[in-house]
Amino acid sequence: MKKLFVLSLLLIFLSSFGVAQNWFQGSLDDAVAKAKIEDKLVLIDFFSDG
Amino acid sequence: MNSNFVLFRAARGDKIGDEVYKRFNIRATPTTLMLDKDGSEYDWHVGYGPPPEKFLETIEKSVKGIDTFKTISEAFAKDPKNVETVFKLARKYDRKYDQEKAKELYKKVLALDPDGKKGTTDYQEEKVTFTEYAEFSIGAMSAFARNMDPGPLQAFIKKYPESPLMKSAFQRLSSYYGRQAPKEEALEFFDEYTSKYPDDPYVLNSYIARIIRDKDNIDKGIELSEKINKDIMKYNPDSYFVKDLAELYMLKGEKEKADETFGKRFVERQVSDLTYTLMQYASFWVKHKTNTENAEAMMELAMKIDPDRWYNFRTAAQNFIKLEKHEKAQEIFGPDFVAKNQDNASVLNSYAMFWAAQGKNLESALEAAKKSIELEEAYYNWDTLSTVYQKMEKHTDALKAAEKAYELADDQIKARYKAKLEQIKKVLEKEKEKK
Repeated sequence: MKKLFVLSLLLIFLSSFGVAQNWFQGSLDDAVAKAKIEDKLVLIDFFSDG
Repeated sequence: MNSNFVLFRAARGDKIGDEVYKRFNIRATPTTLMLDKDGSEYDWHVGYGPPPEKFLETIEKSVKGIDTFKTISEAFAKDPKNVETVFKLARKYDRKYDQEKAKELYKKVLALDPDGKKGTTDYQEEKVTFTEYAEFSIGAMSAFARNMDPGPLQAFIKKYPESPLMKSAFQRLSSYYGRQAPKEEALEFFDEYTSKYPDDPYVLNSYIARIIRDKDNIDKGIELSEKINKDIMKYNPDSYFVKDLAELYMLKGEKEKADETFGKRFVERQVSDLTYTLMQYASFWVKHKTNTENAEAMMELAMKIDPDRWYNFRTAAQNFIKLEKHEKAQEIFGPDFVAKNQDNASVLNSYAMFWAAQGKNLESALEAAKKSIELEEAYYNWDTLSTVYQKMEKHTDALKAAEKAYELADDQIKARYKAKLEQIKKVLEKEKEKK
């Protein structure tokens, strides 16, 4: 059971919809700056490998 | 998702990830946190309740600004005395396990609406006043705090005897009484809790856990545990409960009973149930010709876990044939299988019948049918031998074997079996005519 909870939430979610995962590579501040330019929100997936 | 968000991943244990965890005070995984364009907290969701469509709805609701942390915070800034807004903000923090902020806001709800007249929230399809929920939540936090204090939840139980939150209140208190309360107080609590919910195995088990911890009152523990395992979970044994019953028997010095309950037979039954489930799963997806890669993996797993369960090999072979993987079918249920089961007449017979029905692997089927007869001569394996010969178009041999089967059959079968004899004879006559 524990393993289920530590899996990445978004990974499960996006995979189930066949959505390509376009994860931001870089710091969170850079992600926020990108979101500002593109008029988007930042969505952070907090997960643990085990 | 990509059109609404810049997606960022924060992994626990990773340097950057840990910093982000700390920055936003994240206490549970999985958590999804949304940030606004200026980097401030917009909304969050803790946990993941399938199906994915339900989660999508939750995210869409956030994108539309419905009951987000941001909109509720803005409403709170404008009208900090609105009970519903204060309550919603408290729930937001509560869900994120930010108990300090949640508690402060729940207390504000109580101050603003001490009599519970200013609105309700939904709880398991029932309505609960903001006040009642706030009192419950404050109590639950106290019962789980480092210095566990059961007082507020006990007061809640007295104040709201008909509350839909009653069972949850008892459940949270059971943590305190299970670990910290003095033995006498704990027994009093668990007697009340189990008499209130006598058929809930988890409730009964919370009492048992305390008994095992104290190593005292063992007979009471056995009584409760036998009720769980022999009445409530009779047809669906769960190791979570069975283990405790065995533990109680051990504490009482009844090792034999412990072994009978949680020994070799128990594990063998669990293995059997698991492999049965895996094969059922595989057969289902093979039938629907989808998810077959996983179905194959589960069949392999079942055969590996329990290599002595011969009929799993037959079912797997059947499934591989449906998948048009004939070589694989013979690999697992072919001559090697026969070699390993040389002393089991019924298994050999079943093997021969299987391949006769397929019209394939007939030499091996013939060998198995003959060996089966050698081990235990009976109507059923002579009949199988006859069928194999028929498939091999050796009708003279098929007739001889069928006549032997007829000789060994009981009267009821004989009546039906005549038709088969006649059928083989007709084929033989036609063969003669051709010659």
